[in-house]
Amino acid sequence: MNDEKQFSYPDKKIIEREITAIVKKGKIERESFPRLLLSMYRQIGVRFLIRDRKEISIAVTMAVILMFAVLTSGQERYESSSSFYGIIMLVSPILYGVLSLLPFLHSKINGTFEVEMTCKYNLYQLAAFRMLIFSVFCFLLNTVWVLAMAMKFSTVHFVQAFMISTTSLLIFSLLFLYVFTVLKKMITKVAAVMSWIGLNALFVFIDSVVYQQLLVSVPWYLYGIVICLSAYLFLKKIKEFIIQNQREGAISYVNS
Amino acid sequence: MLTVNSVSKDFGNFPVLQDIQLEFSNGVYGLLAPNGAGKTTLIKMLTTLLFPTKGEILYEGQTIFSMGERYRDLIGYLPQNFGYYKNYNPNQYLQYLAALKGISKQAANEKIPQLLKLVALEDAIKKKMGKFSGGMIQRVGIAQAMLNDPKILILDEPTAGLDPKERVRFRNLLSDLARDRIVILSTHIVSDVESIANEIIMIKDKRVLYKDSIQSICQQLDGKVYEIEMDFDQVKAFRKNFLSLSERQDNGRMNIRFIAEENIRPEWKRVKPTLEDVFLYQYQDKEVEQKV
Repeated sequence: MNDEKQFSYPDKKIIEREITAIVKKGKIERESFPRLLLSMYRQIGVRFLIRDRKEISIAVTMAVILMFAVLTSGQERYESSSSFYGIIMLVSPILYGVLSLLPFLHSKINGTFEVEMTCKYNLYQLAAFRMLIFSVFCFLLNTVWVLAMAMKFSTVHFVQAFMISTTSLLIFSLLFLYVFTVLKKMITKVAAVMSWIGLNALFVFIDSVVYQQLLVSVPWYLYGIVICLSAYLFLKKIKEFIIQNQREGAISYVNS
Repeated sequence: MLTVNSVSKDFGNFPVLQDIQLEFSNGVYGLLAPNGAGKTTLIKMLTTLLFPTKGEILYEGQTIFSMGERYRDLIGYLPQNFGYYKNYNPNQYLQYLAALKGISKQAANEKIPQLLKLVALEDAIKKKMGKFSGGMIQRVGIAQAMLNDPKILILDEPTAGLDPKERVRFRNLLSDLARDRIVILSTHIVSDVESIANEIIMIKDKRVLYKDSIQSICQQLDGKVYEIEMDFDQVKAFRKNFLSLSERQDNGRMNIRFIAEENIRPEWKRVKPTLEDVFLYQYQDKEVEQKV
């Protein structure tokens, strides 16, 4: 008892300051999404974020050639402008799909998945970061393309074409993310992505009147709503992809 | 402290591991079991690659899955099949992994040459990894696992493809590293862990059979391991009755090391059991088990 009495406690202010310091040290503050992206960019750098420059260059070149071919060899049909919109709907997300698939394919082919998934910034985060960059890049490239289409073909209306292109890109991007988080096997993932493109291609090549009518008859405000909603869901899903808690473990999540 | 708390893992309806209970503090742990016993599954759960069907894995009281990148920042991992990019040289590949591990470029530039020297690859620093031998690839794998100076180093069959000299060097390296970290080394090669592991973990029938020091594990066979010399023509009949652990020719006769639990004969020479004896005894075929 005597010992307790003799013990001199620090004053209240010091106790409070020490408690605050201890709590601050122990409390783990998660980085905000933009801050995480910035620190990832600073840490990993363009050099390794876009590690497969050769494959990316080939994919971009092929997409540009495809867009240029549509632009230069397309025949204007004055009775209907809708076939161009079908082509825009088809072509807009292809490059994004190819670029987004690349890190997963590389990892699968080279067997680097396990090592890359156990690093501080893992393959999901790297792929998601790339998806974000490529979605912006593809959006800009598509916009330039539809602008050129609108300038060349009088039957193509820029705003309508822009809306269709952006909707297509965003819906596809969203589908891509869901496919990658829900489906387990790489082959089913690739098949799901390819079937979306294949279906659109089929509608264009059989010159489906119903499909083309659908594309032109949807009001702009509805396209606007779809764009806003898919952009929101895309960013939400990307964020989840980057800051996900791996409830199922990495292997069952992506690469089984 | 890394704690595996009542962890089970099923693949569909097939249980691979059941009710695994383990604790790891600083030191070398040898995870020893035959192929297909569930070692790699356990390792994949410890590295967050697989999620347990039941139970939890905790590091300093927090589940490793909720820690996310904070946990991954603490681990170094060499998978059983270490993949690499053929067009990269070891320096480029380690620079890439250093970036993913959150190591600054400056720190990586200092650390990578040291590690390549440690694994004797300093002369191959600019050689494309596509031209590397299996042993050289494995050494890059060991180097990448140590890049972030991990608190938990997890190595799945790390000595595969290494020659005897490299194995010895690797063992010495692990002994040095284990002073201030957890090293978990999965293998089915007894000699890989015999000289360096503080504790051995054996898995049998989907559960932990032992987690103990080599000395304690070997004690269970005390008084049961013998050696005998016999003529070649007697060996076949002998094998039918006893579990032969090793056989070697000696001056035209056969020297057999075996296990016997009863009917001990005075001419048998009793010897001290080794970890390999326990391994062979525990993982013997069912048919042989009946003999013993």
